[in-house]
This record gives sequence, structure tokens and C-alpha cells, in this order.
Amino acid sequence: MKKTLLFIAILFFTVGTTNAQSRRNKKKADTETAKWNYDIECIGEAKAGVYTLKVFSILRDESIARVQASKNAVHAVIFQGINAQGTKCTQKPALARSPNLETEFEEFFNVFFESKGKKDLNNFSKYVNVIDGVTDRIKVSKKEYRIGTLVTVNVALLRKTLENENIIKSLDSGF
Amino acid sequence: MKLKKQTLVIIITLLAVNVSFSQAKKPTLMVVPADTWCFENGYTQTINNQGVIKDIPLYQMALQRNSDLALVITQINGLLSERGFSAKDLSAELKKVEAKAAEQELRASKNTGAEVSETPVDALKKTAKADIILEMSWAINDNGLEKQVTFILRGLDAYTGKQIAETSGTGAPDFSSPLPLLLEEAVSSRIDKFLASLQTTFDGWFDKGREVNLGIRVWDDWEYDLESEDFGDDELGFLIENWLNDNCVNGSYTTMDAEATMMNFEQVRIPMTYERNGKIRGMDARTWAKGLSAYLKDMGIINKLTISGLGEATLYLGSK
Repeated sequence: MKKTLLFIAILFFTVGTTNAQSRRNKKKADTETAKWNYDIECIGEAKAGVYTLKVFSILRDESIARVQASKNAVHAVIFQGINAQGTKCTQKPALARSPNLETEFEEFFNVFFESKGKKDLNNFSKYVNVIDGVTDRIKVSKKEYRIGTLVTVNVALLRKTLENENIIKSLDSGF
Repeated sequence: MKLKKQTLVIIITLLAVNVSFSQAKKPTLMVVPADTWCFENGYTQTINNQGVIKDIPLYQMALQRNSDLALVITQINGLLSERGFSAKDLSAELKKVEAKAAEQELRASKNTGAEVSETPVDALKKTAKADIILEMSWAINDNGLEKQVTFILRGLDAYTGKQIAETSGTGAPDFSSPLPLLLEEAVSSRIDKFLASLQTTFDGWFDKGREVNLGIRVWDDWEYDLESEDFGDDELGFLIENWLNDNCVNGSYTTMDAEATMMNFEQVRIPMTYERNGKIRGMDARTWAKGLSAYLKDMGIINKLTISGLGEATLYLGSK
């Protein structure tokens, strides 16, 4: 009897710790997100509407590299555009037509970039596929690392979603 | 009761907004190979156009003999339709033109048989009847080991002749992929930038008005001309310009030619939509120039209005 009670107590404790850990991770990821501290390198475009990108995220914790790189890639595609990379990659204009889009739709993007994992289909992660979580890892300060992650972003699908949500205008809007 | 009225007002407003955002006339697009590409690949024919020798592209021959061309056109058409624009297929359009073998070469007055004092309508332009022509060409740099594709795609407003979108560049050298694959990659990697610049043009149209051309011609048997002062307090040509001032977006237009028998206006900015019977409708050069036609009719000038697609209108004064 005592053994069973002990087992149940340990089980509850483990579940609780795991939950707390995942909450901490989520909080960490959201804190890192707010900084938008990253660099993007275009690797190529295998087919129309899917970009292959290498994201360099400046992070304190390597364990959130995958999720953070996904957010950064989507953020760059929407707001910054992707620079050309020699003959390897042509310039990709940002999906946002206005420089104030992020502040105009702050509420939408706060929810959009929330770290919910792949279960929420409306979340940023729906549009990203992480090919290699950590390709490079350089210590840039006492506590920070510059972590490279290889991802693909389904820009065509992302554009459709933002058009349907009336965040960006479609090419044929007004006609 | 008051609440019902409010609800009704909200619904009507929403409907009006919805209608007003979806009624502007959509330009038609068509992808064609560039003249230089046709010339370099031998798909041209030398013709004598009233004493001027020139090469004209033979699209039909190019489509029949070059399978890569069909591939590129199909790919661009597919990407355009994904973005809500169904492009006209060059091959299908050429077949239509062939069917209309007896295409009218010269315009003649219906009543008097008088001829217009201008060059005949160019038969070539009839082949490319779209509002926006997407002109593309590519060159292959092959050094024996590696292949590289240089690709150019330009969007041309067929009626103003202006380049409204472009993308170009050379892809990475490749020694294993077949040419069709390299071409596919060239299109897919450049289309986003191209469509973004096309969107900027469309935004400009909605903001500052769509650019069209307007021509005024005079039948040679009409007793008056554009310098006549019998229709108001000024010469007819200036009266027409006054009308343009009042009816263009921000009064924006450029008078290119103003002579006794003809006037040409370019960069004429017309609104994208207009209201009729409480409904918002799409405006094109014809609808807009109909206003000028009616204005001239009120002065007692019988006129004939012809159009060339959405963006070019010509008024012939003197008779129908």
C-alpha cells in the first residue's frame, strides 16, 4: 500500500516537474521571440513558394533553437524579405506591403507567434519544416550562442493564410 | 424598431463595402516570348510594312517547335492562376486569331465610307490582345561542362507601352540538371519578386487611377476640325482638354499631340470604379471615354468611339 502511494506521489511529482519545465521553456521561447534577434541566409528555392533558409538565432538556450528558428524564419518572410545570395538565391520580397504591419496587427501576430507547438494548426509552425536543428553553434558572449538551423518555409501557404485573415492584400484584391 | 433600422444600415454598408472592393475590371494577362528570343531562335518572319522592312515574331512556329517555351508559359500561367489571375493562353489566342482570317485592316466610316487619316490598325497588335503582356526570354550559357540560365521576365502594359514589372537574373551553374528543370527553377525563383512589383503597380492604379491612352481623330469629310471655335468659348481641342481636366483623377493627363485633325493623350488617369444606379462598377477606357463622347454629342458633334482592350480609346469626330 505504502509502495503504491509512494509510486503515485513520484508520478505526480514527475508530471508536475515536466509541466513546469515545458512552461519554463515556453516562457523562455516567448521571451527570446520578443527580441527577434536573428540573421537569415537564403539557401535556395526547390519549388515555387517553398524557400530553404538557414536561420542564425542568438539564443541563451540551445534546446529552443528549433522552435525559435521556425519563428524567426516566418518572421523574416513576412516582415523583412530575404536577401539575394549570389546566383544561388534571388531576392524574396517581404509578404508585408506596409512597414507598420506588425504594429497594426499586433494582437494577431502575438497569438500567431505564441509557442504552442505543432498541435495548433493556426500557429507559425504549420508553415515551417526544420531540416536540421543545429547546423552551427558559436559562442558569441558569456551566455549567448549563435545557432544555425536549416528550415524550409511554405511561403505560398503562409501568404494564403494571411490573405484569408485580411492581414495582407492578395494580388487580385480590388478587381 | 430603431435597432432594426441600425442593423439594416450596417448590413447595407457592409454590402456596399464588399461590392466596392470587388468590382474594378481585372486586366487580362498573357505570356509571350520576347521578340529578341524569337529572333535568336529563328522564329521570325521578315515583312515589308509599307516600305519598311522588319522582322515580326512567329509565335505559332515557336510554340510548335520549342517544347521549353510551352513549359515556361504553362508554369507562369499556373503561378498566376494561383494568385487569382487566369492568364490567356497564347496558343489558344493564336488559334482564335487564325479563325478570324478576315480581320478588318482599315476602319471606314459607316455612313460616308470616308477613311481615317492615320495608319491602319496593326495586325500584329491584334495577336496580343491582353491588357498586360508578360514578355519573357532566356539564354543558356553552356561551357560544355556546366549550364547556366539567364532569365528575363517583363510585364508590359499593352496600351501605355510602359514596363510595369520586371525580374531578371542568372541562375547558379549546374552540370547535372536538364534544361527544362533549370528553366522551371528560373521561373519559380523569380516569380515572387515579379508579382510583388506587379502588385505595387496595381496598388498605384487604385491610388492614383489607371493609366490609359486617348486619341481624337477627325473624319476627313467633316466640315470642322479641332481648331474650330463654333462649339463654345474656345477651340474644340481646348474644350476637350477642359473636359479631361475635370474627369481625370487629380486632373492628371499629358497632351502628346494636338493638331487640327488629331489629338493624342497619354498617362490619362481614370478612376478604377464608378457608380451607376447605386452600384459600384468597374471603369475602363471605353466607359470613361463615353462621357467625353456624350459631352461632344451635346455640342452637336456626331462621333464614333472605338476601343482597344481596357486601356485605349479613340474618338472619331464627324460621323459614326
